[in-house]
Amino acid sequence: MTKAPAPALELHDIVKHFPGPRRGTVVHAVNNVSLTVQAGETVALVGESGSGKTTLGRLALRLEQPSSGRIMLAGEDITTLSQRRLRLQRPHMQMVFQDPWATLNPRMRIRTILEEPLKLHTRDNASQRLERIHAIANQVRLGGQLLERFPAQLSGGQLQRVALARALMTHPKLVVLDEPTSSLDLSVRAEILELLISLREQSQVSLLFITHDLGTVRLIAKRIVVLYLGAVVESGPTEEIFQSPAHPYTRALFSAQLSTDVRQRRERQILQGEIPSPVNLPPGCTFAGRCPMALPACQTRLPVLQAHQHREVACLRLPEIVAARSAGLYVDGVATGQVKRNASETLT
Amino acid sequence: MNAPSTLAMHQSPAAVGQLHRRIYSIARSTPTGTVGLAIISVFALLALLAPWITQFDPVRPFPNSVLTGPGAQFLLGTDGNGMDVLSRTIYGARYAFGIAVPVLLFGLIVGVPIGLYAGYRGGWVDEITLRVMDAIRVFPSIILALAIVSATGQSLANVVLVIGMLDVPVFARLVRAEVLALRAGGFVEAAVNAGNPTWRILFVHLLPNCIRGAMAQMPIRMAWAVRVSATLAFIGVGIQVPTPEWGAMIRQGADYMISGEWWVSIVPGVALVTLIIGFSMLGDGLEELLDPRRQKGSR
Amino acid sequence: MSGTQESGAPLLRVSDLHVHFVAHDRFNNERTARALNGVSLQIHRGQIFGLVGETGAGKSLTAHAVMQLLREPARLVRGAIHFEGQDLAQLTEDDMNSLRGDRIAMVVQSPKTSLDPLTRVGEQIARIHRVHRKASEAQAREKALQMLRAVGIPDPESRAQAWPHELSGGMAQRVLIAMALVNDAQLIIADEPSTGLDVTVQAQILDLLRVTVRTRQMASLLITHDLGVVAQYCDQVGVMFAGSLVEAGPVAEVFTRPRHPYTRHLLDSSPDRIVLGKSQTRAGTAPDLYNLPPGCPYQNRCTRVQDVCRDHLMDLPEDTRHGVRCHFPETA
Repeated sequence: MTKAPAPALELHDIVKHFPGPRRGTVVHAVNNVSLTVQAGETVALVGESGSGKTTLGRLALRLEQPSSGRIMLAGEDITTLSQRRLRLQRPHMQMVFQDPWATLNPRMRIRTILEEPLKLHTRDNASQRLERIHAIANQVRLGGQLLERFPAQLSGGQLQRVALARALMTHPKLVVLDEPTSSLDLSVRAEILELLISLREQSQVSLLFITHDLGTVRLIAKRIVVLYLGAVVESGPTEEIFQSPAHPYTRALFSAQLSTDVRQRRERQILQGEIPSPVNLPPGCTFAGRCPMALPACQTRLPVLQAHQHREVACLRLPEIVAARSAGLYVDGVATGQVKRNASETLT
Repeated sequence: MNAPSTLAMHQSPAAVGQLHRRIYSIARSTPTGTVGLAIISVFALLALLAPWITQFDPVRPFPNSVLTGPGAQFLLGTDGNGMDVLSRTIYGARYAFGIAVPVLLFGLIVGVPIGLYAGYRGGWVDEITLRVMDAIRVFPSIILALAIVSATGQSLANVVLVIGMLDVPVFARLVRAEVLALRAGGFVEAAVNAGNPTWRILFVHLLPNCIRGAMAQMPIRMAWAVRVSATLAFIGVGIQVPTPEWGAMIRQGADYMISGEWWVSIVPGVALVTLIIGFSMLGDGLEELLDPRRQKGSR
Repeated sequence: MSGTQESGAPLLRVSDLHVHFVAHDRFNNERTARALNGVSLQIHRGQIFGLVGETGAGKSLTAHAVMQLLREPARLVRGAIHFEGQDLAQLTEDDMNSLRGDRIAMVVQSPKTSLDPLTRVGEQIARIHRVHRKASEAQAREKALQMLRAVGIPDPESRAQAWPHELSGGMAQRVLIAMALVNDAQLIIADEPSTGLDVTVQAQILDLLRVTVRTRQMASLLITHDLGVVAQYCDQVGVMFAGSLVEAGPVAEVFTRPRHPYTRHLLDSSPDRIVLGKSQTRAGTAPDLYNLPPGCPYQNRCTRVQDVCRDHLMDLPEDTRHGVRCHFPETA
């Protein structure tokens, strides 16, 4: 009986603090986040600014050092590896950055850019390298004639494919994608998404997909992790959460998504206020300040992730939310701000 | 949404077809730079061909013709030792370039890697480097050069080293600034992600993309080097007569200005000023050419 | 092509706008880009008109043209811009200056970089009022506070003292809107006002815009690349491609029964409508405005292209409810 492959990525209790803008202040970018990406799985990391999603992506690849916690790549603990040892792990874990214009060397031809990981990590000779380059270029639908060009001569969509190809050169087990479609035009986004899905099917690579755009998440990720101010508020199977988000923040996030279906002009759940600064985190639930369902207890008690069916939710009022759902009080799969305990009583 | 970053706005080395048209268009778009380049080229040619085009040996005195004015025999006159001013001036170009070029190379070879590394590492390495560079720059350069050359001996090598050292902070700062700009966009991170060791990141990735700012400064630093070395010679430090160096020649000729033998100082003086202007114009021209804003239309 | 719905004179009526870019390449040859090729639209009071398209389509350019903010090498070569009955293209710069910031206002993307970093925000709002309405300092200050309240900024008295860098993105955008409204603007042009803001904040800003337009019976030209924004907040929509307005009409109609192939393509590419596996190829790159082919600009990407499309770009049908600039539009 073969052993199941180790998860591509495991983050255990990751904490990341940055020194703040003023002396003595601390930016709490990531607060005790744990997450797992199984082999061959695609997990979406979703959140707005200040959620810590980008930082988490970089921590996973140790492009940033965690303040505490453990990072496991395909079963190996890479948290404290030296830079030299870490370089040996790079072929297994790759990143596709958000801005291809800033992260590809404009003085190198595409072919050279793609060849670099092979030269650094393999002992292949020139013709073997060329073969691999063509194979991957084919996979990402990058025409052969583009290989001899320079980045400035390619479009945004083509460049992003180059970035993707570069990440795939060394057969990585994990690829982290940081907002890969955000800087692209609409019609190009669809192409890239389709590409990612077909790549995943062909090579069983695990993807950690960081984005703020929920629309793309539904198409590509089996599981979704929702972050708010550095903490996980809800995580679980994408379809389930899309059908009925539980955490009040998740609900507001979904409600704020703008559908192109004009018939679905619904009343939006508008959150009051802005996202607070991660410098002065309030005690208790970080969302309490804006939550339509907050109780006084929420300001002082830190919610813990509780399991519910196939997902986890960090909300003190989860039991009531669950009860309300089974009582059928969710409209169109999106919960309203009020949860009725029974027909006559209203909790806000 | 798709605006290329400053990085991509640096023109990429596209196919080099039609070299002549490119050169012509570049020349046309910066008349200042073209004139500057022409001036420098003339002087460079003079320096190279000096032994063949000079009429007389620059250090051969003609005791019978001391301080003769410009005329048929000595085209631009002779100096206080009876040496031909024109020949000396032409040979002086050798000293000018002979100082300017090594100084530039020194400044680049030492300054650029310092700037690259400081910008790349950041943190306290960067802080300390910055302070040291600032300390060097803050010193009045002539005084510093004067002190060091007087103390260490008046040889050409010493002059080059001292002036070159003063150039190091300039290039270090320029390169460091460009590295910081690239780092902000994630460029370094991407290189790390691909598995590049530090030396590759510095020299294969960062260096070619950071040299742009330094390039426009090069002719300007060369102009400065020529000026400083002439100044040093003028005040009596460094090179002295009978070596045919412009500064030294001007110094000697200063005594004769009042008595009317103007050519001894003025001729090398004009040469000095012209060459410096040439370097400055080339520097301006390069700055114009390399200004990222100009690249917008051509993409 | 206007997508008119209301009777009565429109507040803004753009007719057949043509804007060219005249540039000189490195060999000093003159090259002309036809950046806008006949844009026409109408906006009535109480309406939000969404101008949508991808990068380079000419949406921002249209906005700048309406505001008469075109500078060399861009030139308005043809067309009229009727606002409250006047043709803006014929006005002097002085007259235009008194309109801008007063009856016509623009709100842009990246609010934090558009605000003057050296002036407190309250003063920036007050200043606009003082300049245009010759108000006293006290009056202007009061009006500024009023505006801050109107755009939903809590604690306006202390907020007015804030510097722009102290504000969050959403807050700064509200300040920009306050600046636009302080002189009772009749037309607000919003250029990607919610792009770059967090999703939950986007909803707030767009809601604010809609409420303001309806209650004050103003009009708004909303420029965006996000079809969801248009679907949820706009009444009329105009779709742009490579400098041409290719389809315009009521949002409900255009989005449920798109007639131009590009509109169809855009809608199909939206994440909430994507059907994966359906070949959306021919996305291609944006056409080079310096080398536009004769005829329809979409010809190289269109699946229904015929010879006539390569020869002849249709003219704009004026004054139709749902107009499309295509020889072979989709029929219902």
